[in-house]
Amino acid sequence: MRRTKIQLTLITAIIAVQTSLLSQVAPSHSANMKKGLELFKTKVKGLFMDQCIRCHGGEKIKGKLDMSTRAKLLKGGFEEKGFVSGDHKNSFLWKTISHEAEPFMPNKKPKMKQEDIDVIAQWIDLGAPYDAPLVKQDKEVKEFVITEDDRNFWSFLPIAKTEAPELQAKTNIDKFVLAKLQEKGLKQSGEADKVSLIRRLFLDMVGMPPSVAEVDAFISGKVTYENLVDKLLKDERYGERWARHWLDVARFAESTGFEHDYDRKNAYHYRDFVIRAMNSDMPFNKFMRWQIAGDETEPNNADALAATGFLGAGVFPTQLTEREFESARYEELDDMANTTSVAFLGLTIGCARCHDHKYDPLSAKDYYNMVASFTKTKRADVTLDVTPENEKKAYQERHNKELNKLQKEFENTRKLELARLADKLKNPKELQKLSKQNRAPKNVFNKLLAKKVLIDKEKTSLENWYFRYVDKKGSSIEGKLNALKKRGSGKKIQLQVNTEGLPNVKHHANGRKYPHFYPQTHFLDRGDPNRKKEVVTQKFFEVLMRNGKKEDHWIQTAPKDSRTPFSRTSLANWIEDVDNGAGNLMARVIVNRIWQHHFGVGIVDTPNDFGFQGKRPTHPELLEWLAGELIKSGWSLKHIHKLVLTSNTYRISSEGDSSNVKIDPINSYLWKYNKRRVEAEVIRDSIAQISGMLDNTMFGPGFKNNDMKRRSIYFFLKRSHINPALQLFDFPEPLVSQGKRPVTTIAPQALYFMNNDFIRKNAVYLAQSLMNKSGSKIDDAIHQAFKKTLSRKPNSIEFQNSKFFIENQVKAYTKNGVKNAGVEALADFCQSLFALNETIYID
Amino acid sequence: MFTRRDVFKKAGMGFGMLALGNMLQADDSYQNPLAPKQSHFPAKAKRVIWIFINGGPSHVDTWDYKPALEKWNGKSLTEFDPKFNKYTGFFSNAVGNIMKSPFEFKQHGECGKHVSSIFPHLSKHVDKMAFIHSGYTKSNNHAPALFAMQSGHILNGYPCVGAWATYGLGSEANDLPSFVVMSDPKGRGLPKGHSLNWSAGFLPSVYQGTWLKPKGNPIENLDRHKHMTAGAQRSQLDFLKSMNQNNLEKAEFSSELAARIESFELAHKMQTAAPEALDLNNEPQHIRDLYGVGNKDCDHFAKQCLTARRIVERGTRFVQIYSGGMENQRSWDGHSDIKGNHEGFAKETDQPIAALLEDLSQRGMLDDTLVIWGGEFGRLPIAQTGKKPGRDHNPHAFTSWMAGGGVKGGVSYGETDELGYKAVENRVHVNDFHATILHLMGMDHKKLTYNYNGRRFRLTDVGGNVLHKIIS
Repeated sequence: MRRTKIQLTLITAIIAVQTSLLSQVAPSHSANMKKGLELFKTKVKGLFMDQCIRCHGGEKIKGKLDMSTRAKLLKGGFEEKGFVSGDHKNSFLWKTISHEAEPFMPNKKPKMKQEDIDVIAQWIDLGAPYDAPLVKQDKEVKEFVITEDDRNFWSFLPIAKTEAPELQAKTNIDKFVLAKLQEKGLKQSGEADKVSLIRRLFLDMVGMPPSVAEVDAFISGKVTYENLVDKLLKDERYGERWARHWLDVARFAESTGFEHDYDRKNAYHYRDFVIRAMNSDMPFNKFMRWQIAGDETEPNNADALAATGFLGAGVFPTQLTEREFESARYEELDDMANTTSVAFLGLTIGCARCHDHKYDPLSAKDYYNMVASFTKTKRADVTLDVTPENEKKAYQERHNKELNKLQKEFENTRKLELARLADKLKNPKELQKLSKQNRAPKNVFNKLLAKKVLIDKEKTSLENWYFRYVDKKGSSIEGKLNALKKRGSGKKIQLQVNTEGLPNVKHHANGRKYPHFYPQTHFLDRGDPNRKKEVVTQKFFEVLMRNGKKEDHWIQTAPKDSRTPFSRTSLANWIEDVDNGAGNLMARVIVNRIWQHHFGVGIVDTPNDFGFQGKRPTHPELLEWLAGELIKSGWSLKHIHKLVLTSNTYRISSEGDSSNVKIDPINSYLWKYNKRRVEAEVIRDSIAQISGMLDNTMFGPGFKNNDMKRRSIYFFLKRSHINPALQLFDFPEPLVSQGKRPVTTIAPQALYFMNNDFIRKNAVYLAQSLMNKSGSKIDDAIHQAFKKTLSRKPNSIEFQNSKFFIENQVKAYTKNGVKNAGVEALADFCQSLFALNETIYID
Repeated sequence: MFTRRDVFKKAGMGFGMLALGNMLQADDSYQNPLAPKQSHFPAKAKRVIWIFINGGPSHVDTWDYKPALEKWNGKSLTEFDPKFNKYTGFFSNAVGNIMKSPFEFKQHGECGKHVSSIFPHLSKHVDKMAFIHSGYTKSNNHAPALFAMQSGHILNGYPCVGAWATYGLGSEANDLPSFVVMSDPKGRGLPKGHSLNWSAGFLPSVYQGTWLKPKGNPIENLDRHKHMTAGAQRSQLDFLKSMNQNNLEKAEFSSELAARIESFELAHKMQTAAPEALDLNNEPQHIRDLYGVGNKDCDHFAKQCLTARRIVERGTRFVQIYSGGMENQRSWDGHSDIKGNHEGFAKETDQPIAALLEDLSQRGMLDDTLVIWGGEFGRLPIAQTGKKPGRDHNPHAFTSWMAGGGVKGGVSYGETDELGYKAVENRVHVNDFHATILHLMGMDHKKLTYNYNGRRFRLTDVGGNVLHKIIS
C-alpha cells in the first residue's frame, strides 16, 4: 500500500516537472495546445461530463462557476479564477479536486482518482484548451435548481419502513445494533454491574445520583430495572434534566446581550414551559408548534404564549444608531429563522443569507422565503389572566375585600391628614413653608397668602396636591390603591411573547423613531440591507416540499379579526407535515438528539447538521425505525426513552473486549457503553443532592446568586454573567443554537473542586450531617459517605486509606487549633469524594 | 508494547503523557485542548499584548497629524464632503463644524513622526511603532464596533482574536491562563458588552479569556478555604489521587481520566504560580518606577502593564488591557470635552505603555512580543456641540499602531483624507488587521478554521489581507 503511494507521488512529480518545463517554453505553445486538446477530447471532457458539468453549467451553476466553456471556466465563480493557464498548482479547479482547498470537489462524491486528477493538472499546464462547449449555449441555465438527486439525499427522504433484522436479541434496538456489530466483527460487552446501571439511569434521566434507599432496593432485588425505568419516566426531575438539553438548542438566556445586556425579566416562563412540556410528554409536534406559533394556537394559554419565547430568546442590541435600524432587524429575523431551522430540522441556513448554500440544496430564495414567515414578529410583554374558572369567584371576593379595606384606610387617612392641613394653613409660618414645596399650586397659595377665600375647586386641588405630594402616608396609600385597582381581580402573570400587533417593548431608540420591524421583507443581495431586491413572501424550503405540493398547501389564512397573520402557524404546518413537508426530517433530528443524550454520541454525530456537510448516520436503519416509532406513537418522546432504556444496548458495560479497539476505537457501533463526564449542571446538582443541601423547589424566576441552593437550571442566565462554575465545565455560550457540548479537562476545574466555596459548603454540610448521625463513629461516617456519593461501599483498601486520611487531617487541624477539627477533616474527605472521577462520570 | 501499569507509572509526567494514548491504541481519542500546537509557519510574535483604547480614541488628536484642520477650522464638513450626513456619528442633534486639534503636534524620532503633545513618553518610541492610519469599520456604535475589533463580526457570538489564537496554538503556560484580560480597576465599568468581548463564541469555552477581577482575588478559586493549610491540602490531593487511580486500575485505560487526575497536580502548581506571577512586589523598585507604580495619575495602569509583562514572561500568550470603562467620560469616548477627556486618559496610560515597550526591549522580549495600541473606531474631525466641544464616533477612519513581534518600526501605513474624515489610501479592514496579527503569530488566517453547525468559520470570515508592508 505504502509503496504504491510513493510510486504515484513519483509519477506525479515527474509529470509536474515535465509539464512545467514545457509550459515555460513559449515557442512550443501551439504544440502544447494541440497536445492539450487531444488530452481534453480523450480524457478531460469525459471527466468533466461525468463529475462536474451537471452542477456547473449543465442543470445549474453552483457557486457561480460555469465549466461549459473555457472562457467561463477561466472567469471562475465566487472564489477566484477557475484556473491559471500553465500553472495547475495555483488553479482553483485543481486545488478543489485534489482537496488542497475547499470546497472539496466533486461535491457529495468521493475524491477523483489520482490519475484523473493528474490528467487534469497536465491539461491545465498545457493551457486548458476546449474543443467545443460542453453544453449547448442556447438556453439559460439557472444558478440554482433542485434536482432529483438533491431530493433523494438521505435526510430529505420519507422515512423508510425498516424491519429489525431477524437476530436473537432482546429488543428491536438491540437487533439493529447487533447487526452492525456482526457486520463489523465486533463483540458487544455484557451487562454493566448493578451499581453502574442504577447510577447511569439516574444521572442520565434525572441528572443526579440515586438515594441510598433506592440503591439498596435495586441491589436487593426488591425493585427491578423495569420498575426504575417506569419510576424515572414519571419523576419530575426528568423535566428539569431534559429541558436543559433543549435550552442549549434554543440558545436560551434571559438577557439582551450586546452593550447593556438588560435582563428579560419574564423570559423564565419559557424555561418553565419546556420543563412542564417534558414532564407531561407533550407531543413533539405540538411542542414545536407552540414554540413557533403558540399565541395563534392557544391565545389564552399562558404556557402556549410563553413557548414563543423560543423565537425571542436571541440577543438584540439595545443601543442603535439610525444607520443600524434596518440591519439590526434583519439580524433579528435571521436569528429566528436560523434557530428554527437548526433546532427542528438540523439545517443551517445562515449561509444562504448571502448566497445559495454551498453544500445543501437551500437557495438564498429559500432563506428569504423562510424569513418572511417572521416579517412582523416581535417580542411583546403581556399580562395574562390565568385564574382558573372555578376560582374566579373566590379571587373576586378576595379582591373586593382587599379593595374595600384599602379604600377605607385611604379615606380615614385622608380625613386625618386633611385636618392636619387645615391646622397648618392657620399658621402663617407653615403656610409660607408649604407654598414653597414642590408642585405647590401657585394660584391657590397666592390667594391663601392674600387671605382670600378659596372656591371649592381650588380647595380640592390643594387637598389633592397635599395628599399626593407632601404627605408620605397619603402618597403611599394612594399608590397602593391605584395599583390594586389597575391589577384587578384574578391570578395574573407577566409574559414575554413573540407575536405580531402588540405594543413594542421599550428600546433606547424609540425616541428616535426606531420602527422595531418593517412591513415587508426584501430579498437582499449578498445579505446587505442596502442592496434590497424584490419583496418576498412566505414559502418553504423547496427541497422539502414534496409530491408536487406548493406553499399554499400549508399556508393558512388568518381567521377574520385575527391580530396575527398566521404565517408562523403556516410554517409549523409545513414543518410537522410527514406526508409532503419537513416532518420526516424533524422526527429524525429529535430522535437523534434523544439518542445522543442517552449514549453520549448521536446516531448522526452532528445533531445540528443533517445536511451534506454533516456526518452520516452510523445506524441508518435504526434511525429510520426510531423516527417511525416517534411518529407512530403520536410524537411521544417518553416512548422513545422507554425503547432506549429497556434495550440491552443501554445496559451494557463500559468495559469491553480490547480486540474491539482495533476495529472501532471510538466506539461508533456501541460495542460498549460510552463512559463520559456529566454536564456542568449535573456536577453541581449531584453534589448538592448528595450533601442534602439541595432545594427541590421547581419553577419561577431565576437566581443571580451563585450560592443558591436550587437546581442549576434555575440560575438566571444573564449572557454577560453566566455562573462561572457552569462555564468552567463547558456550559455553552447561549448565543446560537448548540447541539452538542464539548467536554474539556482543565486545571481550573480542579481548582474549583479544591477551593470553591459552594463545594466546601456542601462538604461541610455533609460532614456535619454524617457526624450527627453516626456520632463520633468514623467508620460509619466513611461507609455512609461512600454510599451517598458513589452508591457503593468502600473496599477494604479504600476504607483504610480513608480512615487514615481523616485521622491525619484531624491531627493537623487540632495542632493548628481549629475548633471543629473533626468536622473539617471529615469535610476534606467528603470533598475528595465529590472530586472523584467516579462521581462525575456516567459509567 | 506498554502495559497499563507502565502508563500509570508515568502518570506524573504531565500532559506530555497524553501522546501515549495513541501509541497504546487507547479506546478513546481524548486530546488536551490546551496542548501546544505547531503554528503553520514560524511565528514572529510569540505573544501579544493588546492595549485596548476603549471608547474610540480620536486619531486626529493623537497620531494622525492633520495640519489642514487649522485651515478648515470652523467650516462645515459638508463643504469638504457633500456626502457627509448627520447620521455618521452617534448624536445627529449635536453636529458641529470642523474643529482643529486642541493639542500641539511635534516631530519625534528618526522617522520624524508627528505626535500629539499628550504622549510625552510614548513619543520617544515612535521608531518602534508601525502606524496604521487607514483603519475603518462597519458600525458607528460601541458594542458592534467593539465586537468587530475583537471577533471580526459586529454581532456577538463569535470567538475573539485571543480565543482563536489559543485554539490555534494551544497554551505555553502550564500554570497560568493562556489568554488574559484586564479591565478598568477604577470603577468605571467594563467595555460595552462586558465579557462578550473576550468570549470564545462557538469554540469550546476553555479558549475564552480569563478576566482578572480588578477587585478581590483576580482568579477564581485560587485561595484555599480558611482552615486549609498547604500541607493539609497536599494530603488531600494525595488521597484523591490514590482513590482516583484505584478506580482507573479497574477501568479501561482512558487518557481523559488520567488527564483529569493530572489536572489536580497542575491546579496545585497554579495555586502558587499564579499569585507569584501577579505579585508586583517581586519587581525591583526601578522597574516599578519606570512603569509609574505609585504615581497617582497612572498607578492602576502601570500595575496592569507590569502584570502583563510578568505573565507573558511566564507563558501567557495573549493579553488585552482595557484603558477606560464604559462609554462617555468613563473611557476615551470624548463626546464632550475631547481635550480634557484625552488628556486625562493619556496621562493614565502614556508612561506605563512607554515603560512596557522599554522594559520588553531591555529584556530582548520585544522582538517576539507584539504590542498593539488601538480602539474600536476613530472620531470625527468636527466638533460635537456642547458646553465644551467633543468629538463624535467615526467608523470611516482610525489609527492603531503595532510594535515589536516582527513589525517594522517607524513606518506609517495607509492614509486618511486631508481632514482625517475617511481612510482613503490602503484602507485596512478589521479582517486585514486580524489576518496580520495571526500571520505574525505564525498562522495563516485562511487555514485557522473551526467547523461549527455545518460551516467552517474563520476569524477573518471571507476577507483578510496580511499587511506585509509593515512586517519586517
